[in-house]
Amino acid sequence: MPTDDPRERLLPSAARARARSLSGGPAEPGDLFVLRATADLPVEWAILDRRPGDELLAVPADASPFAGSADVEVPASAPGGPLCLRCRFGTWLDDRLFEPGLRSGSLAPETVAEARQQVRRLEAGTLEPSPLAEEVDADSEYRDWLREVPERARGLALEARPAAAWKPHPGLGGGYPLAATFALLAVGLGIWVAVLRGEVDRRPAPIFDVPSRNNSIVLGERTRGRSVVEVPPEAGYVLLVLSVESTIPPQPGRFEILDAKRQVVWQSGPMPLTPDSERWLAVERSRLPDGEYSIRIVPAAGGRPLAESKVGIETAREPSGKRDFSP
Amino acid sequence: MSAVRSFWGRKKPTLRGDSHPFTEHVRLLAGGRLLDEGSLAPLWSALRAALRGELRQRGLWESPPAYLGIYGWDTWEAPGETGLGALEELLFECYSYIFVQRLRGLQAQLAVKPNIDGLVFLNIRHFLHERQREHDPLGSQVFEVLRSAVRMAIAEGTLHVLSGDEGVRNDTVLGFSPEVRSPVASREEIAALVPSWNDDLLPDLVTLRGQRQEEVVRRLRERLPDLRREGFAAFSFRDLIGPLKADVRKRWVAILDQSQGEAVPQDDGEEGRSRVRVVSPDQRVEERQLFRWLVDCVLTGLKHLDTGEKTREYLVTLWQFVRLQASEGEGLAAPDSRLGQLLREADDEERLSMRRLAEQLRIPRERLPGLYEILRSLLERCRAANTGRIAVRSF
Repeated sequence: MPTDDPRERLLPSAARARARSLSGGPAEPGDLFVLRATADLPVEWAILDRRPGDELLAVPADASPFAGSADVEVPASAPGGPLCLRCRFGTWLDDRLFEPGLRSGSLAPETVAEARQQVRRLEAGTLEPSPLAEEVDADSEYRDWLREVPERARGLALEARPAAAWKPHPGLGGGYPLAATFALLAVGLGIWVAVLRGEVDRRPAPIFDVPSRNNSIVLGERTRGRSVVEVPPEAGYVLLVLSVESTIPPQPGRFEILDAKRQVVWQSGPMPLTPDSERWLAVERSRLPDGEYSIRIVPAAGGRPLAESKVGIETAREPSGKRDFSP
Repeated sequence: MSAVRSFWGRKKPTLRGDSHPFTEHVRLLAGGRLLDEGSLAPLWSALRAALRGELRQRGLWESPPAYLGIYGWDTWEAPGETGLGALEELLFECYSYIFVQRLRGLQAQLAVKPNIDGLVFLNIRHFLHERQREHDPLGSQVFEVLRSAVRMAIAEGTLHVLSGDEGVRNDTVLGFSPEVRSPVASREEIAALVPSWNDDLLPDLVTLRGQRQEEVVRRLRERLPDLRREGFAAFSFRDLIGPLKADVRKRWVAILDQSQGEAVPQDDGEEGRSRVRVVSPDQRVEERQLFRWLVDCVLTGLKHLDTGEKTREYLVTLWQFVRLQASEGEGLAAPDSRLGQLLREADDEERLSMRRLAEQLRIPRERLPGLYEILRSLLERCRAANTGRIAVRSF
């Protein structure tokens, strides 16, 4: 039975975490961790699941008081609380990212079960938000927070992924063979657009890094003409890897995606452009319906694009394989 | 104090030099040492300064401490007295929120960064935000809608941030053109304009929530060019939100005063009267959770109620009014029990003018008794569901 004194409640959880940390055991569902990759952000990571291939399903967790429809609130009276698990930003991560010395606490099994259930609902699109959670969803502070903290945290964690090749999930053998369409785009004019994993998750939960059937990432082969990315019907996001060619001089710039009518459907903030560098970009599928697009780099100061590539987005016809989040 | 840009896009105060009193304090707590007065003094002083700064930044320094749930004080600091007053009460609450309840998280972050003072500043913001939403729901909601409307206008290119926080805060100065910075509308000039806005926007400004909030955000955004038509090129967000909130409060109090009594004459001349709170209802976490649960439960019930859309709209508006009334009200009763009390008192015309309420909420007066009856019934069922006697899903 939980005690009312948060300091007392802290002790068993911290003691368990410390004991596990000292024992050097592997990260397991229910553990809380801090990651070096996301040290600049006020987040921990809650581990919800493990699957073959040494991958862990983890969600960013923070102590902001906002709890929206996709979040699981851990009250102050529960182990690990007060904390909010941002299930919309759950992702499979290599377990080597979780250093035993950085284990920071643990969650109650029922909290883990609830969060896993929330991820499943998000995956299946069956989330039924309560009216108060909908109020939070509409709150501008909450939206800012999601964009600036858990979304960024997920991006940083994904970038920090060890270079080792992804291991295909055994459950992906049938159906759509590659939930992540492997479409290599290398379209000219200085920008290489390598669409490595066209699909990344099922709407609306953005679960990235679905293993690819073909792990090779080809950069450097220039492919002229129109390229096509096939996206599974239920994909919630399209993940693009934008590579800046070596001929582009270093300067501040931004990426833009334009639709067939030349309307900007997405643009990045200004950022330093470094030759031979990569940027990973996850775009909501709703922003990229089937059609023709141009992806370009423009100087931050304005003026003519430095590079532009054409890409077609199409819904794939084959059904997607099911991923199983259950233990 | 200097200011640096934090990763979450706001300027936050930092302490001079290499002093990191919050980080040091968390280290001390982690070490399990008994803390004496000497080791606490730097922490206390830094926390007080940070709290005071954030209150000013949010425009709360000039507001009654009751807006943050600190009752019995008119101002934050009693003149000539240190270590006493509303600020000290808030300080203790803030300490508990950050260094007791969130200690595990702070200690966790110390493992990957040498300095967590920034994280403590962030927690101070969270603390105040939560308190404000809890104890001043009216002001918080008006802020949220106006901020969203201004940000919408900025995104459309019809408003521009001339200075201050680009995320739109009290210190943000806005203009209708990026180049023209004057004339700037004064608070008084804006105050003369906003009542006409509220004639149109209320009660939706405070009762439309969730997905429907977008409607009232759009309507308020459409009123912003009125300032330009009045000849103003620029205005500060602080000078706009102040009068807008004041006018909403004035209208709301006109209803609440009658139903809550205990009005006392004030010398400040503002509205001629003002409500006072003489008790300190220290709401426990459980009470707040129950209140939120009941509000949510009734809203869910209304969503699934077998009735016409117009009736449902009236019911939601009336329920949001009762919710605000219960949050803002004074007295010994916890807000969850005030919900039931307010619904029962609705039959008493001595306490609540149905005519005035109908006018303010734009609900036909003759419908009010029936609507109250439905809300009473839903609330009872939610209370019963909470005690496990019937299932919530029976709605």
